[in-house]
Amino acid sequence: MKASWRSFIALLCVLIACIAWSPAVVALPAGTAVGADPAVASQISPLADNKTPEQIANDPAVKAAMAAAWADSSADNATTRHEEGGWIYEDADGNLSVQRWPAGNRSSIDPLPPAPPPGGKVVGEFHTHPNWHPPDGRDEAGKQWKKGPSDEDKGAKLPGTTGIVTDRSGNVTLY
Amino acid sequence: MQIRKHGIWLLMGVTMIMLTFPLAGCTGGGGITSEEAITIATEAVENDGVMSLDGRTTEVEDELTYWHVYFPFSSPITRGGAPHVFVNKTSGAVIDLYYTE
Repeated sequence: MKASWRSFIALLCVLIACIAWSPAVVALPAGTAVGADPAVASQISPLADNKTPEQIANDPAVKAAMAAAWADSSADNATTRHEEGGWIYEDADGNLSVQRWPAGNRSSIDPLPPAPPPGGKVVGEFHTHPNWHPPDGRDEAGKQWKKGPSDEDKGAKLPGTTGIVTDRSGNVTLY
Repeated sequence: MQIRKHGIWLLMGVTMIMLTFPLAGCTGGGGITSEEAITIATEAVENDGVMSLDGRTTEVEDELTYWHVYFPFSSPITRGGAPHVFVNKTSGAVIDLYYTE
């Protein structure tokens, strides 16, 4: 009887200790990821399109808009460089178009409320990252930048849409 | 007598359990607290002068040897980055400071 009591208490202790150290208990507060604004998310139509992120990024209208946004970012000017971006819409005929956002700040940008064409929908968004410098991310002042997209970029993107980041590497990053 | 013996076992068990619980804000074996790390990180970011902390929240992650303090935007629609600061738990030194965009 004594032995069974000891075993029971020991087992109980081990069980509680395991629970105490389980990920559910030791998990830290949520990180930087933030959800898309429900007010904005409600403005997008349900996706009915099967365009892949690569198809969206390679669309001529989108590529031209991204190139213009990169030029507008003044990436080579250390004092005026800033983010530019925009929504990517698809109309009822499957054509893609872009609505640019107001110019952002050095390392952030706020979107306009999306306004897709009649019968169209939001299929993506893009923005520039003018601060990261190859090869290691350090800018002229030696500040260390990590290649994006950031957790905030990922968290703010509308669900089911394609995110595109352009930087001075000349490549695009899809997320 | 038997009850006392059981009591000792129970006391040992409770003590073991208490020792296993992670304590919020603890230093993980000496050194600086998470609150001190936030102060150090805030000063480091302000002194670096790259990003303003206006409109941002503060997050802290407890790593093995350092605190990871970062300052994401409060607005859920803002696309952008944050300053990230790694603060040594023992010395309080800033061991890394980088930015996302």
